[in-house]
Amino acid sequence: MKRSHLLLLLIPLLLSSACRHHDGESGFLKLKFVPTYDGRVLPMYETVQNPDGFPMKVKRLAFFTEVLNTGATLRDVSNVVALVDFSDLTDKQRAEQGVVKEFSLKPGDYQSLMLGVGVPSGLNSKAPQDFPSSNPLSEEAYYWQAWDSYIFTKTEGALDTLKNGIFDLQFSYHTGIDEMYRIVDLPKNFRVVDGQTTELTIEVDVKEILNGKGGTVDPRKNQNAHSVNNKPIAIVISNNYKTALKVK
Amino acid sequence: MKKSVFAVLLLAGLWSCGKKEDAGDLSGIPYSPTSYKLEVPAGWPQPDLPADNPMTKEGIALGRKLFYDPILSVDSTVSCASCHRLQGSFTDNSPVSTGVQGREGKRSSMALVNLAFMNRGLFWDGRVQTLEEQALLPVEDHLEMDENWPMAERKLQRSTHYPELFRKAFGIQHRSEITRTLAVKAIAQFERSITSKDSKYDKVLQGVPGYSFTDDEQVGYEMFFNISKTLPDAQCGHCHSGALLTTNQYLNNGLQAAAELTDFIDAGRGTVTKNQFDNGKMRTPGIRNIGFTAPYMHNGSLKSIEEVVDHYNSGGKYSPNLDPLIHQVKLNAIQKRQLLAFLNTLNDSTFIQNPAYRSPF
Repeated sequence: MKRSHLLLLLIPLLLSSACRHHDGESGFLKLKFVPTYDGRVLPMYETVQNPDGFPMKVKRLAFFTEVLNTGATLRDVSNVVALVDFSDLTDKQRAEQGVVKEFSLKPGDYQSLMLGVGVPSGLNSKAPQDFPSSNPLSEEAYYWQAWDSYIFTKTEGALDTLKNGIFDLQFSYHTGIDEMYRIVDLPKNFRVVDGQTTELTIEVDVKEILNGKGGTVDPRKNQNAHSVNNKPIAIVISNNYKTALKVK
Repeated sequence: MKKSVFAVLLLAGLWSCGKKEDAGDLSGIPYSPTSYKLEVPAGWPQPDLPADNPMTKEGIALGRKLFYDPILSVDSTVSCASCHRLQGSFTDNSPVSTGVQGREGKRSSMALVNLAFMNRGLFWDGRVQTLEEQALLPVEDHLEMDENWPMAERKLQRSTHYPELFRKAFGIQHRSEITRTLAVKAIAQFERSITSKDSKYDKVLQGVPGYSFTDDEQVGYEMFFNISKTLPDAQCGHCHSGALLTTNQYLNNGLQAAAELTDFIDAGRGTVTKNQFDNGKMRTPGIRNIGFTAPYMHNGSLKSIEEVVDHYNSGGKYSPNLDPLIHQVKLNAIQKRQLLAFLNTLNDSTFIQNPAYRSPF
């Protein structure tokens, strides 16, 4: 008898926990991340002119992110941070569709969208083997053993230094370690309503990543950044993310 | 009275004949499989084990037998082990593999090591996701076993010993229940049990007493993973990292020259995704036991580890989708020797002598 009473008490508790996204206290935020170059949609491998006039192709662009507005969580609660990876967006249609990530957020009116770029320190102290394969933090390709850190962002491509159609100079810039984690506050008025989804588009501009307010990275001078020897370049790119992200 | 006795005797005779005819009944053989717990060394990722194919000692034993038995090939000359030999870390040490009637394959056989922990696709091009799916394909491949599964199933059903092994592994009631699905499940169980974790590299990292790198190995290790501020980055650790020494990505490592994306001799991953920017990309293999697996690359075109190091040191051949991480490394002769010294610490000699992985025949 006592057991059946206990069960009766437990069932509503279990049900309320299972339905926590539908209990009137949470709305949803769908973020569509779109790669751009100087404001124009940028499919991977498409040729653009870099600021020095050299033809350039971006082959891989990716970064970890999280929504930092109070109470925000990824809708897929098994993950804590999202990996935005544009590598497969190799044509215009796919690039325009972008990479979509959904978050849960407390209903209300917001004046800005606050994003973290990178992996927060609490998680960055862990390693891929600490996560199940369904979690992006299990990706060995995004962990850099020499730094004991996740790779927060990847910006990779090639430059045609002779302007002859051969993209002869490969470049790869990776950022990581706690001091390169950045908080980006994007001014934007938006409303999140109970049980409903609000959609925002975030443009990620590669021109700003390589030539932003935080400094310039010239592939002809520095081909790579993924070690302690190239830390200043990684810092420049980390800083440039502050202006490379724009909310529409 | 005589007639009724005769009728009874006749019925009894018919009944006993009927029983004799059903020689495929396996229900009299005990079925009590023993669960097998896959050892996961510290620092390794958790394996993704399929819920519909739990590992058992009986399943692994059956899979091992099927792996080494040429019964699955059209003329009973080629088994899985023909192209995946233990002494080669389950490669065949040939540029490309040879199937029935001496037919040459198109790619080099991949090492079958630590497959339980690989979860980003199989084959060089990642065309299947699971070991069960993988094991289905070579049987019917014209260049490999060239058998058809209905015939292979019949051979297994008629076998004098396989029905009992299938019964013990999967609890089937009758030999007619032997199917390709169960056969590949057993092979997959055996393959998942194949683990290599006892190289010198593993022991040094685990701090096992008595194990340390030599000076050359230490320098090579630091260049491999770009640990030192003063040594050059050999760029290896970008793609060969973690306990498995692979990121399991599909990459174009500059092995094939191609002026255009459609010029690759072997389009690799592109044949699977149908995206031309994936042409020429291949799965990054784990390099544990690298000393046992020559020749190297998907086409076996590099004969030695020295040639592999030279390839990456040179920056690879040009193609429009060459991976940005491939560029000239500029290691000198001494540094190359030191890198080689480290690479040889990845060899696990206990693995290739492990009796659990040898032929049961």
